[in-house]
Amino acid sequence: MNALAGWISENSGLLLRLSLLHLGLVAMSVFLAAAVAVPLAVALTRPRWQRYARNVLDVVNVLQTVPGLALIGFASALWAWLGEGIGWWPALTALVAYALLPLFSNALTGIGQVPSAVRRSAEALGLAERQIWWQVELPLSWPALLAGLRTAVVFNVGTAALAAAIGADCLGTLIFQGIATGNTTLLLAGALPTALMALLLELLFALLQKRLFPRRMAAR
Amino acid sequence: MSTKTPPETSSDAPAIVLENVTCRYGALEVFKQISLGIAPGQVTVLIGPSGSGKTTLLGLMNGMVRPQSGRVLVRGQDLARADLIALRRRIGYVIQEVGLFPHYTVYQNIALVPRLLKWEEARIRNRVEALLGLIRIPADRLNAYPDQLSGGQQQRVGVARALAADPDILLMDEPFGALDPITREQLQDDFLALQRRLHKTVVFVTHDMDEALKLGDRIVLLNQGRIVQAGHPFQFLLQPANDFVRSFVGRHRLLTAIRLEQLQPWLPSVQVAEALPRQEARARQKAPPGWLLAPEQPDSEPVLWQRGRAGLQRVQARPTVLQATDTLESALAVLLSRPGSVLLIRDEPTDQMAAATVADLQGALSQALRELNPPEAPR
Ligand SMILES: Nc1ncnc2c1ncn2[C@@H]1O[C@H](COP(=O)(O)OP(=O)(O)OP(=O)(O)O)[C@@H](O)[C@H]1O
Ligand SMILES: [Mg+2]
Repeated sequence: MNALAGWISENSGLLLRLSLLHLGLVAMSVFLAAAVAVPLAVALTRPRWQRYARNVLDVVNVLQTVPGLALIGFASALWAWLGEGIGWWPALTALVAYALLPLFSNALTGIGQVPSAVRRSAEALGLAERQIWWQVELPLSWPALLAGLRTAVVFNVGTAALAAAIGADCLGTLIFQGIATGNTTLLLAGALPTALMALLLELLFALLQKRLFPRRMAAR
Repeated sequence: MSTKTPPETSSDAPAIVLENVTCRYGALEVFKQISLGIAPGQVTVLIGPSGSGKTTLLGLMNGMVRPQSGRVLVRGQDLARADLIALRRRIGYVIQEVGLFPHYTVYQNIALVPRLLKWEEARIRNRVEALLGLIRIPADRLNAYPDQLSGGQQQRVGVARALAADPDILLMDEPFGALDPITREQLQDDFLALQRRLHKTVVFVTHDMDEALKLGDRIVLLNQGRIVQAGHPFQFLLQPANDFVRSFVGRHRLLTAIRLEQLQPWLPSVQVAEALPRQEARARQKAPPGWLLAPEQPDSEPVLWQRGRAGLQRVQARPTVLQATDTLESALAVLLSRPGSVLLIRDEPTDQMAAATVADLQGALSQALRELNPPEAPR
């Protein structure tokens, strides 16, 4: 323990840098995944495309079933084929793929749960398609979207640590070095902040959900 | 309401027209080549068994359902070429499932269309508060959410939401469906009183014949994608087109369904005066025959007089007065309990009076039936 405290105080700059990189990897990947998953879910809840929702969900499900490390391997191979298989971009690609499922399936469920009567009355009273999305569907599926975001973020804090395996700098870098050199101090210096980050983010989301949807959404 | 919109005015250009409309959902053909005109300023009731296409027909009228062939015209405009969003904001729609926004308060729900139309907030607030009184919901519920209201209250907020921007056309899909009989009756009465003032073009869906007879200026009975009979409520009661109509209307509705106001145009009217005319005028033979309600002495109670060839005849002191909204049943109950008596019928909004004996009522009924359009041939 003393050794760990000593290491941390000596390398606080490095630790902060790696933590920020880690967080950046998570934030970026979840953001990009949401930018794909939510519009996709919106499209696949329109009557015209609805019948494909099941198929797309199956594909995304398969992505999720692939173990994290294997997915990172595939992403690395893909990028190697394009040019450079090592570093931030392959890692990001794998993490985006990994975050798709919770975001997509939650968005799909959330939007699907908007009562059709509410949607119909909105249409009947003269709301345009895009007004129905912003004023009805989005606010009513917020709780589900946020839950998906929470799952994706917490998942990816863990999976991002694996990205060190393909040379993306993050807290995982310390863990892998610790393992490789048999240095428990180094290993813990990477593992503890990772765990802490996951816990803190989980807590943050729990608070956020409680604040945003205190009574009304819980009742439904 | 028929009293205020006599049959002649229904020749105005219809507010909504369906021309040879065919409508399918996949393989299911809901309507085949149907045509229908909705008269402006009247209540047209669509009635029929479940699945007969009432909701679909309503949907055709605001472009929510597109016909496979045929045309739909609203205020003369072909919906195939109309800006449907703008159109819908000028048509009030109460959907069958109510469909209030669960994340909006009562206020926000009612304010929805005025906000879409960019009304000023002060105007919206006034409007919402006025509507709240109309639907009998206490003002302290303005900030409640729909799931904090009873089913009946939700339904009434749905009606207020449709009325909010004061549209001249109102499509109502079983708006009083989920209410207990007493509240339902009350809202029907409120609706009638309101309609008597506002004369909106209303298309009202129900599966309850009593409601149809009570509210409709015209009833359209649907079955299996066809219009079985369309016409004045009297025609449904007295000249059902076939056995299906007969069974739908039921046998015993006649007396309770016909309201005195519907007969009033065909009943002799009563002149009301502060005092009797002077002696010489009374004796004048040329005075038109008819009824007069006037006190015998100034400030004494009113007496009913009949003017005829022999001059004024005193008929009855303190005759019973019924409201025009009362039913034929209540009129007969009074008349039969006092043989030979005359009943006065007062129309609240116009303050017009009519007199009726049993024979008058009978005559009015058959004359009304003759003058109303002959029953439309089933299509
Ligand atoms: N969106 C739809 N897709 C497919 N079929 C539909 C759709 N809407 C209605 N139908 C079918 O069309 C027919 C007419 O339905 P509609 O809802 O107009 O009947 P309705 O008279 O309003 O019935 P109810 O009194 O039960 O409300 C029914 O057979 C119904 O199953
Ligand atoms: Mg219906």
